[in-house]
Amino acid sequence: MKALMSQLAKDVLADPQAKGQLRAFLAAKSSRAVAANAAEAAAPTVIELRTASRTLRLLPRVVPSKSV
Amino acid sequence: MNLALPALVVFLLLLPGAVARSRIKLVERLSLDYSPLGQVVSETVAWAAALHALWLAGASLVFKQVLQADVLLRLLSAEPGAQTRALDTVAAQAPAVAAYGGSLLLAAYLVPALVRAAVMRWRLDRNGAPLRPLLRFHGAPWYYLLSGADFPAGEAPDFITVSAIVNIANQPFLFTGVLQHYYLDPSGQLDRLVLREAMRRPLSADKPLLPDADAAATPRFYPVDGDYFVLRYSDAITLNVEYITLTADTALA
Repeated sequence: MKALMSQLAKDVLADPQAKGQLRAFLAAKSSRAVAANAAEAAAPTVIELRTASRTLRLLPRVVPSKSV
Repeated sequence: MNLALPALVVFLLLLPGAVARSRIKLVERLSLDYSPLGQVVSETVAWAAALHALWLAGASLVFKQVLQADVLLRLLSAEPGAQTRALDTVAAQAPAVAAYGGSLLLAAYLVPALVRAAVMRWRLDRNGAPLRPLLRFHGAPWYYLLSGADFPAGEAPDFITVSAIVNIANQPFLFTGVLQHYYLDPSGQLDRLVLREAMRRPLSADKPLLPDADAAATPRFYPVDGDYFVLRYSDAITLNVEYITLTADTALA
């Protein structure tokens, strides 16, 4: 079955540079959580997605689950 | 050949209910329905009764045809003479009876699937929805966890990341990546996960307990080559699921 994935996420995964930035976010998010707990939040990862007309700057963030 | 006509009639009467019950459910178990017998029977009878009530009302309103209860009861009786007379009556109205049964079966097959699609499309079964207790697919827990179906429409995250600990050569490794697909086995258990942008690291390279200024900058993961990484659920010791949303950075735009 297909997992949840928006068109925007598919676009990010199709863009080599954005994909690399996403990978950096995935690798750093747990470390960043430690820093954030210590009030030393590092600069957030920004994903730059280039489209035909402009460049989108996206901030990935973890959202809480709605499942119980 | 001897035919137990009353049993056959009861079967035909309940068949639309059984079809509708199986079609409206979203179940992740394919092999056997282990629902309690009482639940199966009661749901089947309820669905059959509702469908027959609808169809009889429609036949009465549109075609001015009403149920001849005496014929039905004679079909269910054990007396051969009564059964024969009832069968003659049914045979005389064969086209109407066939149209009733055929259209009812077709509706029992199609309508519940449409209802199920509408429930999933508009997320009427998500946590917090008013009709959740009635419409929740209790036999599909992985669907809610890995499809984001508990998020209200318009608030769904963009993708899901999965992290799993896998023991390789007696050393635990943490794998993480973006979840693309998931597959279930016939018993409804998670079978395997397909990840993109998969990375791994030894669990020993864990983040420090105390904050370290250099911790965030030190790469601990290294990428797994390939476009897709298939993780068997049976190999995973633990599984961590996170929902990620991408928001436009207006400060930088």
